[in-house]
Amino acid sequence: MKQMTKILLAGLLAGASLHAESEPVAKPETTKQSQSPVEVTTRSLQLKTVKTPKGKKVKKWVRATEVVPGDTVRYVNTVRNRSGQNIEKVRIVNPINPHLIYLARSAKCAGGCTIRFSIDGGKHFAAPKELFVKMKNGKKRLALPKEYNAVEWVIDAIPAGESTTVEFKARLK
Amino acid sequence: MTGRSIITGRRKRDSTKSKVKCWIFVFSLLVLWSSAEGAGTAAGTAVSNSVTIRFQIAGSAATQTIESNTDTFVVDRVADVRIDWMDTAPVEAGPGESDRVLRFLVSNLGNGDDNVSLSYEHNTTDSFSPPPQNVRLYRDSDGDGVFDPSSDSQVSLLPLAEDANATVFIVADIPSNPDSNLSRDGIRVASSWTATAGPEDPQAVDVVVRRGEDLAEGIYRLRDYHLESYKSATIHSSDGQVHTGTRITYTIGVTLKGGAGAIHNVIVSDTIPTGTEYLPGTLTLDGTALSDAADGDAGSYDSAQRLIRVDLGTLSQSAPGETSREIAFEVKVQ
Repeated sequence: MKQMTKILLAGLLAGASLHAESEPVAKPETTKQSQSPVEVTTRSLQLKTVKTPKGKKVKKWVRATEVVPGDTVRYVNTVRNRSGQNIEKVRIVNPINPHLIYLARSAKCAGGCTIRFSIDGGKHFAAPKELFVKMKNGKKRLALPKEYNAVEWVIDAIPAGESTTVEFKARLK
Repeated sequence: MTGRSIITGRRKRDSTKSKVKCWIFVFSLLVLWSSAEGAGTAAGTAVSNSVTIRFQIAGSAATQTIESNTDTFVVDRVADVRIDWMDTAPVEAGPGESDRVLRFLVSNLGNGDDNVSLSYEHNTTDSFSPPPQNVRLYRDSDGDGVFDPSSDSQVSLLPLAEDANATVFIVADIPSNPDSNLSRDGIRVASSWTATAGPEDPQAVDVVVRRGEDLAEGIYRLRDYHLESYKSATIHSSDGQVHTGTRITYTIGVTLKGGAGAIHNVIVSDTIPTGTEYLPGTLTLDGTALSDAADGDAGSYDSAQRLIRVDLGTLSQSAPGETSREIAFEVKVQ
């Protein structure tokens, strides 16, 4: 916590440091985006048939506005490094809403990354081949993609001023 | 000296009924499994997503954590109705018969309540198909899968909760002079919901119609087999006349005629004619003696009611033809 306060004091706006000083006990561990040199946004998309200006029908991922059970939703998370320095050891965690079922092999990233999953709400993450469910008879089996309830992307570094995206797809129950 | 013969029979296929019950059971399990597994997220449910990111500024050991915006859409209402014909084979029906039943299952596969409308779909190209004025639609109100006018109710609008289903029946009076062997008629179901027009709003519950209507057809098959019977009397006297003490042998024949099929629970009852008395121990079936007591064999004589009763069980044939049974007994003129 002291380290975070130092960073806030050193690198962020004056308002942020005042906030940290005035409420030292209640200071949140999570920084608001407006206070951070890094921004992350999430968007839900759905595949729809739309008409081009020339009247041609094409399928396109658009803002999810009309979603019913059974539909696939694509979540695209964009990370922007607005700071003047590289950021490293970037770990992006996306809990999967209980109304959604993760679709196998749909988690991706734009550049290089390591993708891991959790079946305990994000307490532990592991690669699919290392993610096991303990059964009633004491034996273990590989977790099924539909049992994943969080996705984690680990990126080595995002250069200063650049952005990257990570994504996954899920089906509405 | 005339006797009155009563032949009763229930035209049904017991084995088929068992199979139907079995399939209903299996289907019910599947429906229950499907409902449990696939109960759609209810309309109006808000589905949110947010992301947490942790990172270090290059050259710093401190980890920062930030959260994304929260993306939320509201689950829209989907209208999805389905109907299936549930009889496993065409239902047999004879010309002019009343209350012949076809069974259907109506399902609400949407994610909200629906008032499903039902309408009879008449095949006008077929004179065997019951015209609309001969048809009633019933809901299986007691849920036993069997039509019963005393417990089931006529219906044209079927309220169904999300993922619910209900059995409905076509109950029809068959035309008297059909000119074909198979009818094909059905029930059309329609959702009460219509698709929302206008711009889409992620925060509003729009209506999406996935399957607003559905149609299932059932089949009546003209029964091409039937029972015929006759009764004859043989007078045992030297002059061929009836006198006091004359013995008379009555013979009752029952014949299944026509195509392949079966008629179950065929029972022959015959009252001994007034002015005669039954001669004990004379009752036979196909030439084999039957006891007069109501015991293990097929026949009996009830002296109080002066009634011969023979249970023929099932008359069946696997190919077109005739299958006959013959009952005989003697009386003495008083």
